[in-house]
Amino acid sequence: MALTQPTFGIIGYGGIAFGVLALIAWILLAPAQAKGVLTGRTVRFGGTSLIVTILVIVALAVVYVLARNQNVRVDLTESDAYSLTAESREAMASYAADPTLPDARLLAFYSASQAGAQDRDSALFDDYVRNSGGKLSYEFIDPERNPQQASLYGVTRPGQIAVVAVDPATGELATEDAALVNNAIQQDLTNAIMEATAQGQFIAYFITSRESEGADMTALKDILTNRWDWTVVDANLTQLTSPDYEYPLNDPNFDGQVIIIPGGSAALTDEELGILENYLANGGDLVLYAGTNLNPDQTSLATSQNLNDYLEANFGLRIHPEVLLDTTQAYQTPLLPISTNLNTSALVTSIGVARGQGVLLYQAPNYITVAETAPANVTTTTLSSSSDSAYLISDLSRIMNAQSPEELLPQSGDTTGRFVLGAQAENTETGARIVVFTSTSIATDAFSVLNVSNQQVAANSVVWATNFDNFVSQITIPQQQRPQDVPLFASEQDLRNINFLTIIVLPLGILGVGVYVWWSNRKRGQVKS
Amino acid sequence: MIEVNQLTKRYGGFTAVNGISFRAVRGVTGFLGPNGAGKTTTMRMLTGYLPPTDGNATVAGYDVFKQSIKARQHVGYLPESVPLYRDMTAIGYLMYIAEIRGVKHRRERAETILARVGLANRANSQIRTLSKGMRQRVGLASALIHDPEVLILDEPTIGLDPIQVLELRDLVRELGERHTVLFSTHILSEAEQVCDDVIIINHGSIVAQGAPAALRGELERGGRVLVRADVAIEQLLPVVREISGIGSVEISLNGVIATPSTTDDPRPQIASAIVNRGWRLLELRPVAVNLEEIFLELTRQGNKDAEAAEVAE
Amino acid sequence: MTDMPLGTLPTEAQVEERAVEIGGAMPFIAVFKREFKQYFRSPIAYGVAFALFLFLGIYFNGFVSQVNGQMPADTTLIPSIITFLMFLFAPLLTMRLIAEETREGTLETLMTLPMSEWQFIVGKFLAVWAYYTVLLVISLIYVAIMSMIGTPDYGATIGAYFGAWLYGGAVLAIAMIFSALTEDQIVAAFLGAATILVLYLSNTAASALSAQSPVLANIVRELGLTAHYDATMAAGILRLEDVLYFVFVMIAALFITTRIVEIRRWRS
Repeated sequence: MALTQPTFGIIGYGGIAFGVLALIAWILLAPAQAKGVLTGRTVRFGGTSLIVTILVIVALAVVYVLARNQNVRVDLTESDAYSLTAESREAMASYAADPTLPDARLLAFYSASQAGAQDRDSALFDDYVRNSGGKLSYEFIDPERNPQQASLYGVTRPGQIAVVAVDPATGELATEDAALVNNAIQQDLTNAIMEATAQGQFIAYFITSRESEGADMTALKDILTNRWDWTVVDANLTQLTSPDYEYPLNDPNFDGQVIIIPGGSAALTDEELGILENYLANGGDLVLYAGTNLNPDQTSLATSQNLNDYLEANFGLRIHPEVLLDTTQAYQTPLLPISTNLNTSALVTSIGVARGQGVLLYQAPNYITVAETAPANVTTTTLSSSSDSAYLISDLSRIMNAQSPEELLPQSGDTTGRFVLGAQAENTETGARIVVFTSTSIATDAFSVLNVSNQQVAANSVVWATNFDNFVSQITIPQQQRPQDVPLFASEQDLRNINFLTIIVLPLGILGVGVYVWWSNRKRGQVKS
Repeated sequence: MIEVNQLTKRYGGFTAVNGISFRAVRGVTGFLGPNGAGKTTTMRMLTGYLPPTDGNATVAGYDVFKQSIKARQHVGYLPESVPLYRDMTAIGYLMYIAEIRGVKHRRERAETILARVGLANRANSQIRTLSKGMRQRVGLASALIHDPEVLILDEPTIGLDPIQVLELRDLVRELGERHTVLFSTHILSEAEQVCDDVIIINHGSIVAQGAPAALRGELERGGRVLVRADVAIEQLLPVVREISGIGSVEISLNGVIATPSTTDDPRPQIASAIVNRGWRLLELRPVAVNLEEIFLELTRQGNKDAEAAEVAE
Repeated sequence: MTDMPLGTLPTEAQVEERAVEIGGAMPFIAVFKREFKQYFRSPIAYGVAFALFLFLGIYFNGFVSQVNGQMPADTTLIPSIITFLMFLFAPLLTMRLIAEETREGTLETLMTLPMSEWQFIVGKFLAVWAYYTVLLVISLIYVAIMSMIGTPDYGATIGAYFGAWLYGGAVLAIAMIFSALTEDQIVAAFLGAATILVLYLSNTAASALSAQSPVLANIVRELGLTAHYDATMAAGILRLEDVLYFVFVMIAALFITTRIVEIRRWRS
């Protein structure tokens, strides 16, 4: 075990080995004497008896220590709680097979009072080590005794585990490549290992400087910077082409880059579109969140004619300015329609989202049309669409001037049906990838707290767009629901039966048998006397 | 057969048994001595319960220490306190002992042996309901369950009523015909009645051993003599005292008892001294001795020695 | 002292003859059978079983109604509770085993039979361990109930019960030492309970010690019982060292008991 190795060391093992050898030598050289000492008359008396007893106990202790260092463990649980699941094993196999990925170390910050958890979880850690082809190692650190180290990795409470990549050049722990896990839960650990060892420099540009600020996406930025160690910059498009800019577009120092346009109440200028066109023609990646501008000018990406013409011509997608509402599948108001029709085979809407349970919440979205025949070399995929009861309002003043919720209800003449709300497209020739969602709500902080898949899908969009998934084979391995995890359920009647059986029948039954036996014994004794 | 050679048991500075040697073969050997003489300690060593400090002993040819388990297979032992499991039935207890000993056909054997000690009708009684004498017999039965060559009985008659004592003595005598019985007691008449041989032990040492009759004869040979003549005791007394070889004289009811100072038989000299005076000798015989007297004599001797030794220390 | 032959020597034939057949003695099995039966006739054994199952019943009911519909079935709970309670029940079950034999003097009879102390002690130990096993088997009723109202992890159940079985054996062996040490059953029970409690709490002592000396803390922890059961076996991880720990504690405790019986006998 990692805990005792440094203290026991060579001297300890050497001493034990020497002692055992000496004992064996003595038995071999003077068998009669050895036998005499062990079985002779004097052995059985006080002092010698004590020495023999101590010898026996020491021998047992030595065998115990030797056996303990073999680390023989069997995970008996049906849920494989302490050994790797098939998913983790697969992830570890691909990690082990990729020579470009660095080694990593699990720093388990367990306090002294968690020694039991240490024993238990080391079984799981051992399995990680075994399956990583020697690339993983682990170590227990007492955060109370090593507060500096704990704070270095942001450990706030005992029981947290930091997964840290090892710098291949120096062999030292790369503190900046660390991922923190709250508990030794396998799913989280596997993800953390993947994240910490993911290599490559990535940059995300959040386009902010068009006439109005885009939506607030701090949560998404947090994931990029803190979990994945990306570089995130806020910039405007023209800035990006400036040769003086710190992070110019197509910087060769970066392995991947993505432009994220978080909506905004302005159309793209031709100059800006030119930059984008150039960028995408060279295989750039773009994530685009459209959305309705409910101000009088109504200007938005959706109304940006030049952008949509370009997207339709080159990627087969067009964002339409009409606002999509839904009365039957919406959150509180028709203005917040919900999409449950997620494409479960597309990366963006499947990883980390429970199959068939994903929900996306849109705020006054537009809709997308996907061309039936995509342009050459382009594949388009629908990611999310509305329910069949959605309807479109093209006159935005109807919404802006609505005095009562009834006015938002569908009217005759409104187009009703199912509409596409999110789509992706890829040019296989240039490598350009774009993801389009028709509402900034997918990525904004406002909805990240609700129990919807928005945040996950936003992050996934970035992963897919930049091919980041090639670096991290599985950002999130899905947690399987096992029958053992289902809570027990007992009806009132069951509870009464259990109560009766375990408190009345069982103990009193035993007592009854005892009294009967005692009584019949007593009687037998009396009759005969 | 029991062979004991220089057997010694010391507890710290106290010597309970001090280098005793003897040999007992078929028949009943009495082991006599006052309480605390070392009888029980010796017996416990012979049964393998206690390890000797020094010397050795073999039972049925097996060393009681080195081949303890083998030796125990040939010994049946009845401890003085007759410890039994009170909540077991007599037959249950016997079958338990038989099973530990590896006796086959346990039930038949237990029944046979219970009948042998006269308890067939109480086989299924719990031991706690049995009388002291019956318990004694259950204990004896358990010592006999494997038909041992050697039977060691530690004061088996203690605490029994007179009839039970007689019954038990008969039983022991009977057993002596087939087994080597070592029988300890502090009652001399008992030893005299039951034993073929007697070993007298005091303060951990053997003070005498032999057949009861031989022991008596030996003592009588140099023993006290009762003298009666047709003269007054006052006349007789100084005459007898004057005879050489007579240590002391005392007045008996109608004669003089002379105690010789040597082992030679004083009777010829006494007879001639009286006849020479012209008196008529009415009676001249050894004072009848029994084991009681031998025992008292010997142990008194031993005690004095021991006291002397203690003073010397 | 002269070597004086007494009486007549027996002939060969007379020595050989024996009225009974003897062979294949397994003394520890005989001792085991008697002691095991004894548990089903002893009021204290029924008292212990009654107290244990009353406590477990109340505890189990509390657990079920508390987590009903919220937490998965947990079958490792009952064996864990049993191991904790053993500090109380193990001395009660073992206190009379040897102390009674010493006090009643029956030990003297037994120790002059062709049976080694080791066989005697092992037979006694196996009996009390078997009785404990019966208690454990009865407690499987809680697993049955759990499986009706939920889906227990049977692998973890097996681990927890196997561990509790070994744990019980070790604790009973320890408690037996004190039954050999003193004739007073109450004293034996108290000493046994105290020792087991200390070994049970050594985990806590270790975490208190860890600030001063982590090495010492680790040794103290591994000497104790809890470190080999609570976090590992009770959770469904079978570790070689844990199994060895319990087996070795049993061996060591029985060895010590044997020595004590021997020394006490030889000093009597």
